[in-house]
Amino acid sequence: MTSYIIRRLSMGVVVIFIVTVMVFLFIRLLPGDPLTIYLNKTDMQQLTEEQLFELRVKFGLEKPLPMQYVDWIGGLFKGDMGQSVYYNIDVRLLMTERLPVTLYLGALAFVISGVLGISFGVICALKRGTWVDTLVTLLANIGITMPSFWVGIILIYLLSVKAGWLPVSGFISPFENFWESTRRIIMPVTCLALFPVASLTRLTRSSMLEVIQQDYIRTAWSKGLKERLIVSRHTIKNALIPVITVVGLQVAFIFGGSVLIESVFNINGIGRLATQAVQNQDYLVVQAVTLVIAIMVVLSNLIVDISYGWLDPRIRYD
Amino acid sequence: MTNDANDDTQPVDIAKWSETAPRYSEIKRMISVFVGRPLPVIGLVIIVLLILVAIFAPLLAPDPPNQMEIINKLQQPSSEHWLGTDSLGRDTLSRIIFGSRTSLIIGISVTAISSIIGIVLGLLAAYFGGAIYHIIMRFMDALMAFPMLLLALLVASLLGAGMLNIIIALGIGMIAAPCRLMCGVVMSVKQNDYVLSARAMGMSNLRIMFQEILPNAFPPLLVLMTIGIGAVILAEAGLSFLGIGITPPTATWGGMVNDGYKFIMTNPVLAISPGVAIMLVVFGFNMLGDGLRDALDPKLRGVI
Amino acid sequence: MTPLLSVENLKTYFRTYRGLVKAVDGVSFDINEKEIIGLVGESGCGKSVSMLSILQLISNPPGEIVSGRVMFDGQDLLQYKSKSDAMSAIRGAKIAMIFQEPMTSLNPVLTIGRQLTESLEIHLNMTPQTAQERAIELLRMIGIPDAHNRLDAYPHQFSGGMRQRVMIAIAISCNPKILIADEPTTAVDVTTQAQLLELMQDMVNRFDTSLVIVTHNLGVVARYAERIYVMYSGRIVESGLADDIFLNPRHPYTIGLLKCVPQLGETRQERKLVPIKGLPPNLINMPTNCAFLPRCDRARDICRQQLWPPLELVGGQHYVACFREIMEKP
Repeated sequence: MTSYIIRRLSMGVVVIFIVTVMVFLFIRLLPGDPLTIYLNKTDMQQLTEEQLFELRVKFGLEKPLPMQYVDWIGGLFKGDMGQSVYYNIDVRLLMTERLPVTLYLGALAFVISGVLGISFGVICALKRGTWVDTLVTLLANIGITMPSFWVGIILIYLLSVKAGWLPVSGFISPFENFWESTRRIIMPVTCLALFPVASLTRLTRSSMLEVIQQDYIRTAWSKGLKERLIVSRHTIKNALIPVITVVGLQVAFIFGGSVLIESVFNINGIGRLATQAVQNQDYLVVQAVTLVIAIMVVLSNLIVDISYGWLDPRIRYD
Repeated sequence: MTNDANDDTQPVDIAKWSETAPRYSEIKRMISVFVGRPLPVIGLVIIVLLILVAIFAPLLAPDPPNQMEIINKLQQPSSEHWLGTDSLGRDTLSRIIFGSRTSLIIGISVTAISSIIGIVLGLLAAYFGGAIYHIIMRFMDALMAFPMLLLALLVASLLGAGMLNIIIALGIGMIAAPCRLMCGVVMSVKQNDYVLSARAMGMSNLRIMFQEILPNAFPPLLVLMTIGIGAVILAEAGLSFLGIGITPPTATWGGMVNDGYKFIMTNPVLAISPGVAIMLVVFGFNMLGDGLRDALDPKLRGVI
Repeated sequence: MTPLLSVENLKTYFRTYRGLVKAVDGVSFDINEKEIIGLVGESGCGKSVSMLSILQLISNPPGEIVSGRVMFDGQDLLQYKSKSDAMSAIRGAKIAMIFQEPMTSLNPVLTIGRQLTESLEIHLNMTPQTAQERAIELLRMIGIPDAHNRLDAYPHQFSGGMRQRVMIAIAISCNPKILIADEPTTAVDVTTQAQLLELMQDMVNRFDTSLVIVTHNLGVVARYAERIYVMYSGRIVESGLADDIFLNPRHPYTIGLLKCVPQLGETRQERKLVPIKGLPPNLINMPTNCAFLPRCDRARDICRQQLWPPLELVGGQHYVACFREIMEKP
């Protein structure tokens, strides 16, 4: 197990390194002068060649690329992500303000999708062929096809505009006013969780059905175990092994969804920040958001891989 | 055990007993599995209709997609404009019909290009193994760490708007899945007896690659690509919804949802109807993919 | 003497997309107390399915037990629902089973100890502690060294032969009346085969259990079985005491089977091993006459004209389903 964890961790480090290189290169690949990263367009036009050169030296842009990368990474470790040219504040401040919102919504959506998706999948597999299975599977099949932003709009139309039950948009911290906050996050969290719930339901169902056909399940039956025990002890753990592998994908998907959903519901998280930054050509912000999200996805994948060993002894002992 | 003893086996007269054992063609079996269930067939019908609509859009659409009648803007559905008109007085139905072209072109081209790149990378990784395998696979891990939409956003912001750029932006995020799949299939097929025997027979590596490995990798790839088209269409809709995709006035379903969102209080049909189109099409590709998987999956053989 | 278990006219069919497969088509047999029985036939002849049907371990769909009775302890087991408590009380406790594939028959994510103790806890109401002690005892009995520590091991840490030993320990753990071993030695090497068979014989002797050995290899049952049933394409074609079958086989199929078993001390010149020509029939669209007909080298006109021959007594406990034997009874 220890060697497995060490192997996974070192792979994770390599992946994070590649991620940082990719994000770093993204900035360097920008068309035009790299100074655009640090300056407004208007500022740039007013500067003379000499002043521009001084600024290049100041930002270390005259150094070779690998050195610039090292500088950048060193800055990141100190929490230096540069300045937002649009908001004119530290990118780090912007992130610490916006990231918790996205994490809060995302974590809720993640937990909900895990709990609901796996339970629905297990129920469908056990009730295979009944109307429950048919209905839930059909809903899951529809769930993976609906654009989340569109569902958000429909929810707003139905629950806010027509019924008037929930506020249209916005976000309030749960520490400020828990009830109001909860009312406001119901719709966005639903939208974020929709696809993960549906796809986990499908995956868990098919995984369960596959496990049920295994020889060791027949052995369990032949030993005279009752169905309840066969499901809880012999089936679910095996069925979850392939399900767990896609959890990392779900994390990435939820972050991707927050880009859309935060726009629909006017929530100031990092998803919306990314969209606005792209529109405002605020590249350091784009870079920071991308980096933070990618690293969080890698880390959650790492946790998943390590918890794998807990589920599957074949990995634990190899 | 009994087989071991059969060292002086005589040629068996197959014709004698095979009369009672009817032969079944694989294709026939696949079709019967595929057609045996309603959802894949519905999916196929949706996709065929989509392709027809995209091809014959100018004939089917009541109006040109960008024909503005400002006087008739934001009309409710009527016999003249079945789904009403948008804020510029354009016919919603016509724009949905023409939007199918955007979705289909992007869905298919992104999937095709990214699959080819992914397949090649996967083959290289599995074939050479060692350092090349690790480099390619860690690179794919890194690629998978970026949510597809965010990656597309990033690349689109680099390259700017336009059809080709959007295809590239979406395509990068789609490389990892076929690459991993191809690599996995090749790695497992490589160990199979028939590949070992092909090698023993002196077949060149390249021939083994094409004659033995590709046919085995094809079924899962086909399924992945079918479902991938749906995923791309969804992602493209998301990008257009954010206003970062295809440049207006080209009709895109995601962009139409965004336009309609502003008028959700008065003209909900503007935002809802293009979403239904997205849903139907993605549903079609997903169900077709599921059907193909079941039809091509040897594990289900004889069960259904 | 009434048999311990008696199967009457069992029919188990599978519905596949190609058509109805009559895997078991009217099979009857008895298992007496403390008896070792061999059930022999080529792969796909329905021997495993008939055994699985006794415990209702056929997955439905696609399989279905269409008719028949399985009398055990004065009860027809087929009257119970497959997932009922009554059926669970029989499985493992009264009738236990060992399967063909040791590599996949044990749950990969549960320890050997867990898989051994669970049936003890359920059927014998043992506490976890006593069950554990009993499990260690069982592991020792089946010859697993360092049994105490091996309880916490997982199946993948065991070899195929070891896993099959564990399967035997699990099957025997609740002291069942009948132990059904479904091709228990097919997937292991020859030396392990012999050890496993010895172990099984030892176990059933010790626990006064009846044993059914299902196999496609007559050689496997030759040393152990007291009575033998020979199956062909879903039916029993010959049955009798081991001596009847080996010394006086009457059905052309049994004769053919015996001809392809090598015998010890036999040289190549003395007797050639003769394979049975052709392959077993496809179980779909079976001909209504004798299924062995296409491969039979002694067929008569009546074989082509009549339906399946019935199983008829030809002496002692010896039954044969073949027109040639029935008509030319000595």
